[in-house]
Amino acid sequence: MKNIFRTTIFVLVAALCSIACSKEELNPESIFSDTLTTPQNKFDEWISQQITIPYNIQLKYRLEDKESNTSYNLAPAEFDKSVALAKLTKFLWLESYEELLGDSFIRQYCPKIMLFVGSPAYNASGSIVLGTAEGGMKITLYNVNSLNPYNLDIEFLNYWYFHTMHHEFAHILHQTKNFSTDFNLISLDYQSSSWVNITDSEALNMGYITRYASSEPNEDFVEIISTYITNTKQYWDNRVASASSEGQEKIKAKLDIVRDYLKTSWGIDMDTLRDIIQRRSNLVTGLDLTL
Amino acid sequence: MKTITRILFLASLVVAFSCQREEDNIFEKSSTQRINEAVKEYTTILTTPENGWKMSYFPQTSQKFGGYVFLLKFDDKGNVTVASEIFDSDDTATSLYQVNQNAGVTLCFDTYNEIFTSFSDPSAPLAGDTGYGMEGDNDFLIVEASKDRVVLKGKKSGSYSVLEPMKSADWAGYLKSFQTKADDMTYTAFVLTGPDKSIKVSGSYRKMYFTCTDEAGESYEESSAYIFTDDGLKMYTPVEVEGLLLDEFKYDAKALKFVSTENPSIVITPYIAPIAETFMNGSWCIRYANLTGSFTKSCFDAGDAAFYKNTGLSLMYAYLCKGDDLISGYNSNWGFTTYTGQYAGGNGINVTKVADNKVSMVYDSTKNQGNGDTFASLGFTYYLNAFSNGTNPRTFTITTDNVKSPSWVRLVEDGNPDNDFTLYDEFETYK
Repeated sequence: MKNIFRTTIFVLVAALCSIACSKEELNPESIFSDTLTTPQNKFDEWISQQITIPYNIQLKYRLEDKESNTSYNLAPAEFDKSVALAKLTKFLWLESYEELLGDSFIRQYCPKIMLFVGSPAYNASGSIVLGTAEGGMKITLYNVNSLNPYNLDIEFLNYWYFHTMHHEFAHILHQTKNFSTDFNLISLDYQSSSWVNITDSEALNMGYITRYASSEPNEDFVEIISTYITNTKQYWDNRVASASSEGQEKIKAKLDIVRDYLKTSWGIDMDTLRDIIQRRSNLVTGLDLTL
Repeated sequence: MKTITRILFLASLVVAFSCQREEDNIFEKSSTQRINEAVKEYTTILTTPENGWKMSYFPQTSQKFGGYVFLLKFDDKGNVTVASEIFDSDDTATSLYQVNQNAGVTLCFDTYNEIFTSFSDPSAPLAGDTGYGMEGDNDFLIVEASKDRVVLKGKKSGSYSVLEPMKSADWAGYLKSFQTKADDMTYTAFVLTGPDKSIKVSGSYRKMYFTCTDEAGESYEESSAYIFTDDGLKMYTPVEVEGLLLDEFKYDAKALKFVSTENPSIVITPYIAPIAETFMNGSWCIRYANLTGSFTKSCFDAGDAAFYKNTGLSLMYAYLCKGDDLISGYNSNWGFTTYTGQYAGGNGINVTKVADNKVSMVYDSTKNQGNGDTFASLGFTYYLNAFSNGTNPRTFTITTDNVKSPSWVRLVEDGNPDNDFTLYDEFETYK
C-alpha cells in the first residue's frame, strides 16, 4: 500500500514538473529577423535582375563598415560611378567568362560578394591597394570614384578595375585547385613587401611580368593571368621582349605552366579568353553606362 | 507517514525549482523588435524637420581640426542633401543614407557625397595627410534622438556631433552670413585671461592649445576643439583650464575678443600679428600701375628699359615674397621674385622688422636664386634700388586696409615720400 502511495506521489510530482516546465513557449520570432527595409532604388533593382539572380553575386555599392577593412580610412563610392562600373563589370568580366565557359562556371566559382569602395586604400608604406579577394568569397574594388564614365579609357579601366578583377578571380581559381609547385622553383628571389622598391624594368629583367608579381609566387601566378588576358598580344610580346634574356626565359617558363594549368584544370584557353576580352574592351565606349 | 511528509516536502522543492525556470523578461519585446522600432523611430525623427538639421561636425579622434557646420536634409526615400560652411554657400550635394542596426542604431552615409564625404575621404581633399584626410566618419551611432536634438558618435573616430533642427529654410543665405562671421572670428593665436590669470593660446585649425603652468611651476598643455556659433564660439565639451571653465563664448567684434557667456571675467583675446610681420611672411604682388611714387616709378622704368635692351624680355610677374611661394623648386629666401614667362629669378632681400608698422629692406645677392645673379647683371639693380639703397637699407612705413587680413599694403620710405608703392595680396601680372 505504502509503495503504491509513494509511486502515485512520484508520478504526480513528475507530471507537475513536466507541466511546469512545458509552460513557457519559445518566441517563434527569430531575433535575427530582418524586417527592416532600406528604400530600394532603380539601381538596386538592376543589380538584382542583372547580377544577383543570373550570376549569384551580391553587389554592394553602399559602403558597409562590417564588409570593409576598418584599418583603412575609406570613402564610399559615388552612385553614378557605381552604376557605370557595375555595367562594365557585367560586360567585360562576367560575360567574358560566360561566353567562354557557359553560365554555370561563373555562378559556381565567382566570388559571391563584390564590394565597391570610392577611395583607394592607402598603406603606410605609401602603396595603395587596388583590390582584394577574401577566400574566394568576396572581391573588393577600390578607387571607384576615379572612374570617368564620360571618357572611358580602357587602360585606366584595366589598371584600376579589370586587371584587379581578373587578378583576384585568378586567386580564387588557384585557391580552389592548386597549381604545380614547379612554378615556385622558377624564380627564387621573391621580394615580399619590398616589391614597391623595384622598378618595372627591374621586375621584367628578374623574370616578373609586373612589379607586384615579384612579391610572392601566388601573386606572380595571377599577375601573369591578368596581364595576359587584359592586354593585346602585341602588348604582352613587347613587354616580354623588353626583359633581359634571363627574364624572358623565366616569364616564358611560368607562362607555360599557367597556360597548362588553366587548360587542364579549368578548360580555359588563355588565347581565346584574351580574344573575347579584347573584343569586348573595344566595345565599351558604345555602352550605356547610366540607369 | 514521516516518509510521506519528507517526500512531499522534497516534491514541493522540485516543483518550486522547476517553476523558477521561467524568468520574467526584463523587456516586453524581443531585442529585434526593440531595435527595429528604434530604427523606425529615429528615421522618423531624422526626416521630420522641414528645413533639415544643422550639424556641428567634429571629425577625427582628438578633434584636431575642430568643428564645422553642416546642413542636412533627410528624406523618406533614403536621400540626404548636404551643404556646409566650408563649401560655397549655395552648393549642395545629394547622396544616399540609411539608418540601420549595427552596434546600436547607426546612421550611415554610405554613398559618396561631394560635401559630406570630403571629411572622410582619405585622399585628403581639404586637409590632413594622404591616406587619412580629416578622418571623419561615414557611420555614426545614434546616441540620443529627439525632435529637438540628435547626438551622433562617429563610429571610427568616437567623436560626438550634434544635430539641431535648422531654423531657416534659406540654407544659402544662412551659410553665407555664417561664413562671413566665421571669417571674422578666425585667428591663429590668442590669450586666455581669467580673474587672476593670463594663459598663452596657440591655434591650429579650430583647436586651441593652452600653455598652462602647474603648482610646481612646470608647464603643461591643455587643448580644446571648438566650433563657431552664430555669435561666437563653443568648445567641443566644457573644458577646465587652470581652474577656468571654458564652454561658450560670445564674440565682441568691436573689442575683438571672445567673452564667456557663463562668466564674463573669462575672456579669450585674439592675437593679431603687427602688419610688419604679416608683410614679412606674405606674398605681395607688384604691379606697375600701383607704383605711385615718382622715385619708385623711375626705378622700375629704368629697370624695364635696361632689361629689355639687354635681353629683349619683360617682366610678367614680380613679387616680394619667399622664392618658393612663386616658383616651385626655389628655397624660401625672401626677396624680389620674378618671372618673364620663360625665365625665373630670385633676388634676395633681407627684411627686418623695425617697429610694428615699419620694416627695413636691404639687397643681399648671396641669397639670389635661379637666374637672380644673371638678372642683376642685366638691369635688375634698377628695380632693386627702390627697395635697397645699394648695400644700405631703406626703411618703410606700412599702412594697410585690414591689419588682420590685409588685401593690400602701402609702403612709403621714411624721409623719401616719393618712394611710395602699394602691393596686393592678389595674383596679377606686372603690367
